[in-house]
Amino acid sequence: MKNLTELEIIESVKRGNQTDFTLLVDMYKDRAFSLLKRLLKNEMDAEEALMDSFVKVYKSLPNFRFESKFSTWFYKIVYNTGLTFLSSKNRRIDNETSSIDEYFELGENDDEIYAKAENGKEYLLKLVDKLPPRHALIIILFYIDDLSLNEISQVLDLSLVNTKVLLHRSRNGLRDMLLKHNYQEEIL
Amino acid sequence: MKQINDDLLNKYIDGELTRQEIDELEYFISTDPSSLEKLKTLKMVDEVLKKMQRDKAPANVTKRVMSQITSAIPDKYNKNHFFVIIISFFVLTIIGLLSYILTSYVPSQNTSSYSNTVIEKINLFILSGVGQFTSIIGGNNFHLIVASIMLIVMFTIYFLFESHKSFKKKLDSVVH
Repeated sequence: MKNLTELEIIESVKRGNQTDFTLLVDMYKDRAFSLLKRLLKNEMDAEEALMDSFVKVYKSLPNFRFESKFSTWFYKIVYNTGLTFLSSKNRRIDNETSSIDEYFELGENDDEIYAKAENGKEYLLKLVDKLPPRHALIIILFYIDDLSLNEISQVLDLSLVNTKVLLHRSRNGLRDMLLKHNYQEEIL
Repeated sequence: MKQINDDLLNKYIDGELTRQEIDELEYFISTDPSSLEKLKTLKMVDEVLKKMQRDKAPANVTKRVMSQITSAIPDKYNKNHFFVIIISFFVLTIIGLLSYILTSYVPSQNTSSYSNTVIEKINLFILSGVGQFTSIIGGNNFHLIVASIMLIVMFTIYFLFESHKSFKKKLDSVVH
């Protein structure tokens, strides 16, 4: 396997070396899949959207001008592909471009999740999957993919303030569920 | 300090408070068990989330993506070769036509007194001017020349249209 940096891979693919795109796919497939799985709440849909995303990235790569980080540009394409997928399935995120007043009630499936979880950590991770799409995405992008709030706001097409509010709400929602079951006792 | 609220606790977790604000928060929180519990649980959430693992994409994704790309998108190099061939063809046609016109309409009686260089032929062609042009129009080759030029113009318009279309597609794919 070639030992190229991300920048070298992108430039190589832009020069027409199609096979080097495999390196980029290998680098980003897990990140994109994690994101799409949380957005679409279904593994098969996530897999299908993942394929579409990479084809779109390949087609759009000649237009990538290094004006932003590649990861931000990449996640934006993946996120938009996921949204297109949702709308094609007649599901959509309510007014995804501006509103963050997305109400969520984590208590809906709580009995089932609580019964299956062996400890606070496992319970928390299962709850993340139950968060509404954008709340879950912000957790993934912030904690797993290490994107800054500024980068996340570009990916989700939200203002920086709204992005921060979304992150706080997600964390507060998860915290309240832990408090409900006294899981905080495990660490206090 | 303002009242302790969730926003403040989140800012504390994210390291967005000043030293003075941290000291104040820690003081107030030590006197309020309910807020202390909230903060500690929020810290737990933060720590657990930091250790989250990525989901693994299905095993054969890379292979499937590449085969989809290969079948859906023609090889860039082949595409470039195709364009180079087409453009070369038109350039050669135009050069051929110009050469034909130049060699055909230089007056034969003057040939001996002029050198055969292309530049002189071009000069001669320009100088021969309107009179020569009239003879072209009157000649049998007129239809052939007009048809060739029309063909070239049509192909040029077609390729301009196609390149504009592909540019628009690229633009759309970036926007969406």
